[in-house]
Amino acid sequence: MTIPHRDDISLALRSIRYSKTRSLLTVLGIVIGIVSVVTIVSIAKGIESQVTGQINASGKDIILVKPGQVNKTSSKDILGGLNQLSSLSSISNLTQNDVNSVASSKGVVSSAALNIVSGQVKSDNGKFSSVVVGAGNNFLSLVNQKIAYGEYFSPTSSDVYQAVIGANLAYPIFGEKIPLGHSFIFHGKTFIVRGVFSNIQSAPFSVNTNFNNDIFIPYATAEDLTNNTAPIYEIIAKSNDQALVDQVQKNINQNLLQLHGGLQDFTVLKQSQSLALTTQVLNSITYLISIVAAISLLVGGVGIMNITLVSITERTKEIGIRKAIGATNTQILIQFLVESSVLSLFGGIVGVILSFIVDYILILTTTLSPKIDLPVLAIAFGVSFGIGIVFGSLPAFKAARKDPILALRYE
Amino acid sequence: MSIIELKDLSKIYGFGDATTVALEEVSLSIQENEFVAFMGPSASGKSTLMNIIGLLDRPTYGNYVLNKRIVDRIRSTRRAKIRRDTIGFVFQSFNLLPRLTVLENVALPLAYKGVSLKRRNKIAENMLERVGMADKKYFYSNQLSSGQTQCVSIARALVNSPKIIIADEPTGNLDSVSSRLVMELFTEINRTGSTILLVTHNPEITKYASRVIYMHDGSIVLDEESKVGEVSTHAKKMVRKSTKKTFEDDLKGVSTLMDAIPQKNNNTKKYSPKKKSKKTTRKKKNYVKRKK
Repeated sequence: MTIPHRDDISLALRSIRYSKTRSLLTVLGIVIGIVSVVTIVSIAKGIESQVTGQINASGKDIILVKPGQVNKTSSKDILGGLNQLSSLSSISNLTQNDVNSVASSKGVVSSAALNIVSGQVKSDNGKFSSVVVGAGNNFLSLVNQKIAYGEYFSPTSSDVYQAVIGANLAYPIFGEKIPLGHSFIFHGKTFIVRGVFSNIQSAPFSVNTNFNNDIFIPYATAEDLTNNTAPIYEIIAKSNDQALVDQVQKNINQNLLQLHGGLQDFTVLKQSQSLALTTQVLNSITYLISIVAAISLLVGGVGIMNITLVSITERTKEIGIRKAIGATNTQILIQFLVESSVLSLFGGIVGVILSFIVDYILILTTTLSPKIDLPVLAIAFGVSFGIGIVFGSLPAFKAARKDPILALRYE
Repeated sequence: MSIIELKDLSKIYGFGDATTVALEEVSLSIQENEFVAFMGPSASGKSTLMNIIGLLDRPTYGNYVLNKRIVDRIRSTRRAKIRRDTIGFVFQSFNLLPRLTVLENVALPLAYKGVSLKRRNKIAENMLERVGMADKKYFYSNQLSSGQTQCVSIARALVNSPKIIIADEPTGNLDSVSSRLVMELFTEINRTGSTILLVTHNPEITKYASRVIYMHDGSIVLDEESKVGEVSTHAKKMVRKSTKKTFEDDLKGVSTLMDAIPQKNNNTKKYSPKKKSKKTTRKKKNYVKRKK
């Protein structure tokens, strides 16, 4: 009779019901641990699927050229992932020559460059310091970006002082949700707002800025304003064939390397690599926070052990009675093991329910879209059950070894 | 045929000069279907003897043959199983589990045996029927009177149909009406073939027993047959004495009974370190001197 019996489980449930407050307090550590692990992992999963979705939306045949060198040596290292972000700096060593070279590389159908002009934006509502991005004419079609209101600047238009703004800027700068036709002054020139972007997905095109807070002007105009000194943020190129992306990437890299005199101070990424970059950073952060959450689980386990020890002392007489009427040591051991694991599994269930609530709140209040998936739930339940077994075993052994006579006499 | 066979059984607690001899070379043979009452003052070793017979405790020395099996040195798991299958306990303080209903309490020994829920509930219900508690099966022990509680715990002791029932002062917490009820229950159980070992402080109770054993300081000082329905001879003396009851008699309680018992037999071999035995004899001499 060493298999846990159905009775043991119903008995355990009953003893949890018998002392509800204490049980809840006991499993608090487990609950907090499970909620944090599940929430963090689900947020990471949500971001990952968002990014994947964006990449699929913008096309797998996109190649990005960014200034700077990605540190690839320590990709397996947890902190290595974090390094990669910072190494994508905005101090650019890409030039107009590079833009031309990319455009003329073999296999590139179309390309667009983004550059950044710093300066102050003046509107009727006051002065704002906003990032102004010069974008090539093909930008919109290259990344499948939608315009919410108005239109993108047309290449044929003679009016070079026109702008399309990020969705977040409309209200603060122009005091209006759809500020089409409004004007602002930038570098002494009056620009007219021709359109408003619908929400621009952050990754992979902009790792360290949010395009929704930026103003877009034609690339040539930006060059004009700064006398060709605007730093190039990135060059976006589209391959003519999805299957040949690798080859095109190689071509671009070769051409640029020639221009840079063999110095690899730029990075050519295809979409899947940008994705890998993003998920790597994400994974690093997830690992770090999960370790913290795991410590909370450990503390929760110690809490369970502590309370089970107290409960065993309190129930010494019960143990004595059970032994007197024929319970073997193993049966007592199993009773208390089942009790502690049911208790901590109960903590796991409460934790998972709470994480669903937390995720729902996150969806309502933030732009994150956390995704709780089955493996995460399975791990959460497994871990909480395991904690019950591990931290319940010491008290259970103690209970099983009690001397029946002393236990019977205990008051 | 004897069901319990004890030979030179000793139980010693502690060590060094803190040694306490709880049982001193007790030899005893109990036949099947006997109704034995154990009497004696507190700390005379009755409960220790019951614990050893009930396999809750191990003797320090001596042999114990239960139901033709030598059981004094077996492992705890086997002890638990023998306890479960052949021995039923009834306690003075009832010892029902407060979190379980009456029915669940009675069915518990069967659960440890691995009987299915349906079957054990049926057996437990029959047992409750037998002790007249069938209508209280969904009650909790704190909703019952003490007499009813004791009936339930007797039902629990009986549920595995054990050969031996060990009752340690089952009437100690009961009023006289409930005591009679409980004792009649025991008599009826005895009639169906169970051996009953009963510890009591109340001489009246001995009239249900077929044999009365008196204990003192860890030894059996008197073992007499007794007619069922009659208070045993020595217990009777105590009863007669206590007819002119004073407050002091009340205080003395059972020790008055012990006055009526012949002096402890000094011929029996004694286990104890030599040093200690000297000490006790010296003490005894002093005691005798003082008496003179």
